[in-house]
Parts: sequence; C-alpha cells; structure tokens
Amino acid sequence: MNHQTIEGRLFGPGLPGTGAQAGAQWQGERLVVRHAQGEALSSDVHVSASGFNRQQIRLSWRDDTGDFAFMIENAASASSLRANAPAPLKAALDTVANAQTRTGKRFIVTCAAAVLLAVSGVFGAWAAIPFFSEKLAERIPPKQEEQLGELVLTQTRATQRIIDHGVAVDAVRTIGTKLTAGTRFRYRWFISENSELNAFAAPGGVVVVTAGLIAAADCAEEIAGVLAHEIAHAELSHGTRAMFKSMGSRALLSWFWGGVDPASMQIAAHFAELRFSRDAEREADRDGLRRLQMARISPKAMVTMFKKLANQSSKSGMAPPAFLSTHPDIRERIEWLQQTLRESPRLPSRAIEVDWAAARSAVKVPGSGLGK
Amino acid sequence: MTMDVVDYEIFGSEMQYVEVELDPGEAAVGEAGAMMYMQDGIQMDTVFGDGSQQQGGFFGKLLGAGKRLVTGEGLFTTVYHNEGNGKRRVAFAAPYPGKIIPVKLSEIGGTLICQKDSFLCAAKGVSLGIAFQRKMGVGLFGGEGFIMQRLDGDGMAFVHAGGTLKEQTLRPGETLRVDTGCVVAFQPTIDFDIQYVGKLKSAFFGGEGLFFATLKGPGRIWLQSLPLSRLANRIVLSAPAAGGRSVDQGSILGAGMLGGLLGSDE
Repeated sequence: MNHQTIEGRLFGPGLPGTGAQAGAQWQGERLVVRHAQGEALSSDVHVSASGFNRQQIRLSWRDDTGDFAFMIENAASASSLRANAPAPLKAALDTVANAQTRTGKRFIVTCAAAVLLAVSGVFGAWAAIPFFSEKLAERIPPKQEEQLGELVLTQTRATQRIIDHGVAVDAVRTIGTKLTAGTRFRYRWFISENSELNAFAAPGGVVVVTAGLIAAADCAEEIAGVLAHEIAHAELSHGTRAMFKSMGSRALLSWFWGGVDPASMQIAAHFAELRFSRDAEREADRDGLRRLQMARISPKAMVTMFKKLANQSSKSGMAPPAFLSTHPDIRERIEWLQQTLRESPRLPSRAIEVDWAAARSAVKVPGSGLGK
Repeated sequence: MTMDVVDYEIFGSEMQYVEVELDPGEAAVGEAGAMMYMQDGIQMDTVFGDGSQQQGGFFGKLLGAGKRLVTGEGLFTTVYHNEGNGKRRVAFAAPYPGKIIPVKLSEIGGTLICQKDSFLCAAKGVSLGIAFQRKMGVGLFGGEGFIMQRLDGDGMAFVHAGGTLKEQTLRPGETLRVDTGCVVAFQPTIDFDIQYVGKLKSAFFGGEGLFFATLKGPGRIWLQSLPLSRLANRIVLSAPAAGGRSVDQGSILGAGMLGGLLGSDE
C-alpha cells in the first residue's frame, strides 16, 4: 500500500454528471477513489486513452450500480498512477501513454508536412515557370508568332503613332534587310513617333524603332547594331517567352488554340516595356553581333550605340531605355562586346548604302523641334 | 488567480443578451463589440489579450493575443470594471439568433472546450486559449475544424451558439452521434471523434455527409440545432435576388421596378 494520491475526476452513478474532484490510491489491484460524497472501490479496471485529443487517462470499471470512469489529466497524477499500479495494468498504461504520444507526434508531423508541401509547391511552381515558358515558346509555330506580332502592332498603334512608310522607314528597311538573311519570319519595319530611345521586336518579325533613337544615331551602322540585337530576340522567340511568362499558361494556351483573350491584349499593349531575362539579353547580344559580322557591317557601331544609350541615361538621371533592359550589367555587356571584338578575326566591312542624314531629318521627334 | 463571482440574468428567447451584475471592484471580460449597455460606475478598458495574466510581459501578452486571433476572437478584449460604490450591471448581446449558455467552470473541472468564435463574455480571470484538434480525421471531417477555444478558470463564462441548445450529460461510455457542426461545447473528459456514416448510399444521398461526430462520455456536452453557417446559407440561397423563389405579389411581373410599383413593404 502506498500513500501517493492520484488526482482526477470521478464519474458514475450517484455522482454529479459533470464529475467530482477526487483523489485515488492503489490498494493492491483495486483503486480506492475518495471524493466529497464518499468513496468508490474499483473492480476490474480497464485503462484507455480518452478525452479531448486522447490527452486524459481513463480508468473505467463497472459495478451493480453502473459504469464508473476516473479521468486523470495532469502529468504528475499520471506518473504516480503508473508508478504504483499493479503489474498487469502497468503494461496497459504504457500502451496508453504510447497512444497519446503517437497522436501528438502524428499531429506535429502532419502539420510540418503540410507546411513543407505548401512551401515547396509554391517554390516549385515559381522555379518551373522559366523552364516551361521556354519549352512552350519553342512549340509555337511561326504562323502563330506572326499573329502574336500583329496583335502587338495593333495594340501599339492604339497608344502611339506608327509610321510605316517614308524615307526614314525605307532607310531602316534597307539596313534591316541586310541582317535578315535566312530568318524564319517576314520582317516588317516601323517607326513610332516617340522621343524615347527605344526599339523592340515583337514575335513574328515586327520591328519598331522610335524616332528618338533614329535622331540619336549618327550613322546607319549604329542603328544596324540595335536592329541586329532586336532581330536576334525575334528569331530566338524571346518575346513569346516573355509574354508567356507574364500572361501565364492559361492565357497563352487559349490564344494558341485560337482566339485572343483580354489578358493577351493587355500584355501586347505594353510589349515595349517587357523585360527580357539576363540570359536572353546575352543571347541576343551574341546573335546580333554574329548577324552584323555576317552582313559585313562594322560591329564597332553597336558598341558606340550601346555606350551612347548608357551614358545618356546616366547623365540625365533617367533609367536606361527599356531596350537595354534595366540590368545593372549593361557595362558588363559593353565590355563583353568589346572583348569579343578584340578576340574575333577582323572581318572586312562595307558601309551601308543609305543616306542616313536624309533619313534622320525625315523623322519627326515629338517635343524636340527637330525634323519636319 | 482570483476569479470574480458574478451574478447574471439572461433575457430574450431566440436573440438573447445576458446582464451581468458586478459587485464593487469586480470585473467582467467581454468579446470586442459584444457590450449592449452598462450602468454608471462601470469603466470600460480595452486590453491586449484576455486580461487574465497580470504579469506576462510583452511577449506573453502578444502570444495570448495571437492565440485569440487564431480562435476567431479579436486581438483585444474589453474589461468592464465596476468602480462605483454599489452593484452595477453590464449587458452583453448575442450576435445572431441562438442561445447564451452560462457555464460555471468550477463545476465542470475548470476547463471548457468550445467551438471557435463562441465566446461571449466571462468573469475576469477566465483565460481564453486555443485547443488544437490533434486528431487529423476529426479536424478535417468533424465539423469544428482544427481550432477550438479553450476556457480555463473557476468563474462564470458565457458562450453563445445558434439555434436551440441541448445540454446533456453523458454517462461513462455513453455515446451520442451528432451532425457535424452541431457540437458547441464539451468538457475535456469527453471523447470527440468521427465515425463513418456506414452505408455509401446514406453517405451520398443522406445529406449528412460522410461522417458523424461522436461524443463519448463521461461529461457534459452542449449541442446546437442550427449552426450559423447553415442558417446563413439558407438565407442567402432563398433571397429572390439570388435566385430564390419570391412570394411577394410582384413576383410574376418581376422583382424589379414593376414589382415595387404593385406594392412592397420596403
């Protein structure tokens, strides 16, 4: 016999329905439970994990008046219960304790797993976007890219004045045609009446150059550098890839299956502001340079033009033009260009036969007072 | 911690309020926004947390308030302190049709587990915490979710539920199968579990879902006949504007302008 009292709550016939505070002690194989109104003596005690979250130990037995249950909640009582329990019950109590810890552990593990799953799902989706955009962009046939380009052109026309004929456009076409030998698309050339220094190539061969850029170029070769870079973007489907990334698969696929949805129109309207990835820019630089060299156009002009654009923006404090993609490594790219030129064989170059001065003066730059 | 002993009276039948009488110096704690009226002499003070821990430090209070947020209550509770000379009253109103349950925590062993957002008011000193449902199945299908409220203390607490209330005491081992969502509160000695409905046909067409909630004694339980979400759903679905059937005279000609012309109470 021992004197450690086990605190708990007793339920049974004759006792309040909500239970009575009680203290119990082991007397051999039986439990004597003392409460305010008297005491109860247990017979064959059955042990189980019970209560909310199975956090309580329940000792139940039956006598001729009815069923009894003694519920133990706090840990101290639980341990003194086990310490002094008769041997056969000790094993049962251990099982109960295990069941309780198991419930607790399972809960924590499931919570942790759920959180982990959610986080990795989000991360996985985010990481997979560039991969999937690339794969899908590759699958789009040229015809559809041309359609997409047409859409961009239409949307751009809605926001800016686009010129598609005239001396300046002809000059741009002359330069551009030299660079588009062996390309997938049928290229078309446009000038937008915009004083910003920008140029972009929409998917499928639509190339738009701003009036500001024309005005800033001192010779045709400088524009050639820009056009080569843009043609590279078009040939490598960077535009489609970028649009895909910003639209999301749903919108692009719906367009792919035919029909355009409003989301695509939105993106198309702001095509000029799309940012290409760093890798895409490097690729376009490399491919653009190659085109210039193939066309026997002096690549030095590309470097000059890049420098001009970079300097102009840093002087005026404005952000570099979107064409250059506000990447901090614009200097890096200029350096790469210069390095590559130093290393590659000097190929003979021919001047582009175009009256650049005439082309430049034919262009009207809004707000500058220059041109016609 | 010391608990204030408060007297109370519940008024109303389906949309009730409880009027609590405080002795000088006593205080009651109410859910933010539950107060209906209070007499002169009662001072209202908003505290961060439930006001039950005097010394918890800032972090302790923050944790307590966070727990309350998770259980559907606000970050703050309001304490109504009687600073007058005699007994004063403050009343708290139920936020939707249903019943207020007065529970004397000392009678049930000091702890009550109840459904989220059911706490209305209590004597100062009752602490409000989270009771996490650790059994996955019960959390997912039991109708109460994973988070329930836990009220600890020795004083009087008032909990609110929808519909008509059923209070029952279960004998040791006695089991009751309950529609998920109809469980309001229970003593922690009650085993709250789920049970599969049994027949696939009943599961799909019985309208009760795939599981029952089972409550096994010993202990006291409180059930509600109409969970608020069910009532709200029915109301929204029956609104003629939302596609329900209109019984107004104008309904044949449409619930719009013409219906209004022909007479309506609005």
